[in-house]
Amino acid sequence: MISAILFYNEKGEVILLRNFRGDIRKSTSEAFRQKILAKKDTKFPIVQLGRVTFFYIRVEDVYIVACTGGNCNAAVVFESLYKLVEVFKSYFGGLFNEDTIKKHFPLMYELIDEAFDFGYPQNIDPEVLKTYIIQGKPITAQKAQQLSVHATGQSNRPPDLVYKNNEMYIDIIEQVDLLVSSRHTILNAEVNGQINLRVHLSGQPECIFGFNDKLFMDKHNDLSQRAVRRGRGFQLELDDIQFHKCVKLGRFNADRTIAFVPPDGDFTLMRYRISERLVKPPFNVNPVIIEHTNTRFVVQVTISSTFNPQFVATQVVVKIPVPHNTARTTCDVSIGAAKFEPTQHAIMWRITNFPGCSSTQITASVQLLASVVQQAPWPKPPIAMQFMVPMATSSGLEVLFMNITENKLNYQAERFIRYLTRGGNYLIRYPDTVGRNTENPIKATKN
Amino acid sequence: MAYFSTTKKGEIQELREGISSTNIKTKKDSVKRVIGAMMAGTDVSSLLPAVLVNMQTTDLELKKLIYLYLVNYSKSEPELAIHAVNTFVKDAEDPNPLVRALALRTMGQIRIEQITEYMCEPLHRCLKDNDPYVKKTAVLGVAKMYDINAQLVEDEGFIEMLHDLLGDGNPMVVSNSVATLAEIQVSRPEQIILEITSDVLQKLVSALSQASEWGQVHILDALALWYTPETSSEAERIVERVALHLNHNNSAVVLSATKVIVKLTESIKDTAIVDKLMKKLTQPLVSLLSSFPEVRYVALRNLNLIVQRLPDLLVNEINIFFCKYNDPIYVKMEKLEILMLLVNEQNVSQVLNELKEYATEVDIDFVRKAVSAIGRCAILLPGAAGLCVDTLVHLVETSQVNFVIQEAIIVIKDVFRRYPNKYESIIGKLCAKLESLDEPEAKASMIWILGEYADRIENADKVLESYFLETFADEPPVVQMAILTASVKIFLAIPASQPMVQSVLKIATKKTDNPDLRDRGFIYWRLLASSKELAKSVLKAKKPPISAQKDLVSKDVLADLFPYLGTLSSVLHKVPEHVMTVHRPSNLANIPMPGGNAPEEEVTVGRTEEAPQQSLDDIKPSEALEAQQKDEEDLIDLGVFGLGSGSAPPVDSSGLVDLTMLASMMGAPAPAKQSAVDFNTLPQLTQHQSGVSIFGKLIQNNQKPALFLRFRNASNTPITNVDLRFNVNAFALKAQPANLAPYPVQPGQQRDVTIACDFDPAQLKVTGPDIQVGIQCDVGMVMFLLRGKVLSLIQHGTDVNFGKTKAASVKGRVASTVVNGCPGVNPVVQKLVGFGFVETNRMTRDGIEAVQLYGQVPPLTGHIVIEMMFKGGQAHCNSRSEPDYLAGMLGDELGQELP
Repeated sequence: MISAILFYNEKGEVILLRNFRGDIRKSTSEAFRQKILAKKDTKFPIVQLGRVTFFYIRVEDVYIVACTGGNCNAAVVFESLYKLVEVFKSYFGGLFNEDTIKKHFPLMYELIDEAFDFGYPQNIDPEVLKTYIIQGKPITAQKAQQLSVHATGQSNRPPDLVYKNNEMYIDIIEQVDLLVSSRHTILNAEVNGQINLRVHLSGQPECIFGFNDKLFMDKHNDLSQRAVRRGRGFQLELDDIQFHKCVKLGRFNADRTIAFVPPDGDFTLMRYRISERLVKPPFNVNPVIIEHTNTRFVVQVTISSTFNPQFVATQVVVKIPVPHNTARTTCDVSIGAAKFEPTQHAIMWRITNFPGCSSTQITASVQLLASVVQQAPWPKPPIAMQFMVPMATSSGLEVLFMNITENKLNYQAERFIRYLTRGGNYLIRYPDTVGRNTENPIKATKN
Repeated sequence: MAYFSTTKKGEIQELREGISSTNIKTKKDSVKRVIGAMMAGTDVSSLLPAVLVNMQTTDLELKKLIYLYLVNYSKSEPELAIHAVNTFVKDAEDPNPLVRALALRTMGQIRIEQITEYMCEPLHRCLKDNDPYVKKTAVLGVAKMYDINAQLVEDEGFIEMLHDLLGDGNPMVVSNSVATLAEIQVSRPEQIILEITSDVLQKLVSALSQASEWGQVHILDALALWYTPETSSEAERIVERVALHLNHNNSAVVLSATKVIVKLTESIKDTAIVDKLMKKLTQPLVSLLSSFPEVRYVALRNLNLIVQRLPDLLVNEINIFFCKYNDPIYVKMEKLEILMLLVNEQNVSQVLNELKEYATEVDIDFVRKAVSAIGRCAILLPGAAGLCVDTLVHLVETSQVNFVIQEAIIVIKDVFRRYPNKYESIIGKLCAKLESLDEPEAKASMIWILGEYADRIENADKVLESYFLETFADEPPVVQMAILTASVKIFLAIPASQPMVQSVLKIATKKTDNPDLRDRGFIYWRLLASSKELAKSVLKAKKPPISAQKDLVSKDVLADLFPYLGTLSSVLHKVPEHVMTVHRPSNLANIPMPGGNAPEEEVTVGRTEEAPQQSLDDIKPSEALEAQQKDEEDLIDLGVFGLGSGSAPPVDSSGLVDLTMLASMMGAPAPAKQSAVDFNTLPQLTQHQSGVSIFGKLIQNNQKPALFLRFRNASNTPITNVDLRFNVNAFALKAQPANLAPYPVQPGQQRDVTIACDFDPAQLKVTGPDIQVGIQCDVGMVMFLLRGKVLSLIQHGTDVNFGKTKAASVKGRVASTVVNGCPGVNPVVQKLVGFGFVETNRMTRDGIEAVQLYGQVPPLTGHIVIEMMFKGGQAHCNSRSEPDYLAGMLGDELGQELP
């Protein structure tokens, strides 16, 4: 497995090194710095130098590098490095960069040693680690004995948890990815959703979670009847679901019931994915380019929202790329504000509130710098869009119930549910065909 | 707190005082600063005694810090570290399980043999501890001990204890035991360490659902490698449990579950169940692509293998492999590869639209690959070829980017090869872009097209003459070769172009230093002189077909790789035995040797790409080398790589073949006597600018090492005096004086010389397997690297009994190689005995034959033991030696010699 984990700063200095197997020398880390970090153009996240293989990721201004001399599991290496970063962030108040490493390095050693032993990942779950890696608080032998069952993953929860207010927060977050071709067909549309829980519950609660899953409702007719009465009765088909390990997979496989004993604190209960067949993108974006002369063209982008008018999208940002030799632009928008940002090589159009089932347009005239030298043609990067739609799911997923039962303590837990849809890789390519010097492009296309 | 602040004068003293302070907080801060200084590279080892005094503290945090410090300095101060042993042993009995585990974990990290011995007793106790946290730490303690002293682990019976722990109630204890046993198993393949009996299987499967994500991976990996179901129903039962884990959100678990499922389905007879399982795989595999970019890269490399083996699985999901604008470049490249595997007549138009889109992006490598992919589509799918060619022509005509046009022309040439006489109508459009060609390969491709279709292009001779002839002498060899061949082809089609072909042949044969060009020039000249018809039959011969799927993994390798899905070897597409050995450019072997009559027709679609991972020579991490010096060394190593590594560049050997073929064709006497050494495999060592080339290798002559050299003299001076010297080398070899005087090598001739070699201890220096050789001869100084051969050093006539006793005592690092295509046990043993080995042991178990051989190398006081296991056509060789480095070199040699 992993022989050593190294942390490099941007300058290529090793700021932290944990050697698990004693087979990584200083010359090895030096070789990595010279051969990989010093050359900015290295293109692969796995490189071999001699007999040593390096796996590296970059987080903020830090390179995290795992070395190995054997045939180790590459997927495990990357997954565990990212999990490790998550642990650090959770300990260091959401931050992880060169400064935090320097500030907290004794703690980092402690965490790395818990997370990996002899290069094998052991326990890289921040919530579990926090139960027994506590700075400045001694743990008695008695307490430690109770904890070790939890620390070895045998039970999800530390023993004897008591909360005054028993609460559970359920966040359903959906990220919409979209790729529209230059011929205005959808190449790829996908919703990646995750259900995050924040659990503040006493004892050993058993939870059953239900949403408007078609396969579940087929199997539980009574429940679906109730759901139809309560909700809109929409039944959802998911392409793929992935669960947190606390979910009893056998039971899910048998009758699609999502039953689990949750760990304490924050975790992702499930991730799911729905592909284009079922997804209606929340925004339609329709760009048109009209070229007037070699140094001037007009971009027209029409955006219409397709979601229910009761919701409002916020923080909408449309990034409309323009050529590098753009001199100035004039933008005409009906809502929001649009500005040419030379560093981004794009017009950034920001709209604070975008209601559902509405439509708006930007007309931007772009003036290019004339140049004598023949320029490489503009590669036309796609238009990118970001947005948030609170309280809506683009897939139509709805929480039907979350039953929490704790046999001994018998309390009523409060449940809070939030929905959010946001734009991920929301990309629309510019059209191939460029209207030339036409006064009215819309008419022209209709003909 | 700035732990990293620079060490000022007196700071060590200050720290010492801090450590000795009675205030626990001051103490802790001081130790933290010590560790900070240690990390920054300051030597704080002088504080070791002061720190050690505090080891018995009850403060867990302070203890951890002190242990951390200790581990770091234990290597350099082993004496002091041993003083700490008592505290470790005592801590391993502490009532607090966290302390017990910490002591045990730290002891394992101090890699000193004496400490390891002290570890046995606490390890025995902790493996039976009531606390699972201590137990799981102890299990990995066994792995650590095995790494330092394997014998001790066996003697103490820890392996059996681990077997028992496979049935432990705690999932992490089970998964760590699996991981440890698997690691031991991999390091000694000759023994069965981790056997998955039905009993063990039951334990593993029940631990699977409870284990952490990492534990699940260990268990699944072990199942994939070492479990074969006995019955179809057993396989069904297990696969059902494993399939649950496809819903895990850790990609490593999904990949490991996938490989177990694929393996088990081989044993399931009911095809309906298999189909259902395969359907279940698709969506989880698609989900892998929503992860972090690096994970996505690993997933894509694996999907590439999966698609090659199970093409139907993802053929309807081709959309997910379309590149997003902001994908990292390595992800885009891999997606493109998979697109090429999945493209078919139904989806080709969609794929083509995508490829066209990519051709407008910024990254040069990606754009070129996309353009080249359009050509590959054409070659793959005859039904879509027209569409692809149209797309390519469109790119050539409209693109303003030079490299797009050039790449398109390179790939159009391959399309012409695939579909002769079908698309020549586009040649005119290509000719319009002649001026924009500046890359050798694009030029060569265009020139090939001109030559090949000379009879269809009215003014092919004029085009060639006006665009390429003027600069003929300055072009790179590949273009020169192309011009030479094309001009002859054009002459055959357009007799009026005779003056042109004459001038080209004249330059090629008289005014060039490149022997390949000159040889080819002579061949053509004589061909034309003897008979035009003969020339036509050679030049217009039928060409071997080309295929568009490059980088495909062969079926056998694919089957071997599948149990390793998710691991490094699945990312590199190399079997595990090859992952860690020094890489050689293996693609050389894959290039089909061109037929003797059409030497220039060696075409693979696209260019031979750089492998995704840099295959650098071994950088020897064990030697702390000065950075600068290091770089230079690597450069040198790389530079001679192709020459010294034992395989002659294909062009060269084909040149040789041509020469002899020509000679026999013309009825002329062969230029030199055929020698006993195989003509084709003799590697070229060097080529002097005067035209003298030297081929050769180390051989055994009268059971003694000798250097076989072939001088090919294409210069104007005869070679009479040769002074040959070896630099200091790993084999202590020294060359005896060579004498060519009575029969000098005349210009245009070649001659073979065998130079005897001696052993001289003064020549010994442990370097690489290459020997630097310098030759001072009539044309000047020639230097080259010679690949040394351990096999040629083995002494003959070793006593078998001596071998048996000695073989047991040889220690040293084990070097493993897998030799494919072995003829069988006896031929291999005979071959090795021929080199001087003696057979010391042989046994058969479970149909696997194992042989142990011993050989001695007296000049180096060396001993070599090879242990081989034969299975199918494969031989797994583990060799160890004294001194260590011999085994490493031997591994490569076995790979070349045995098949």
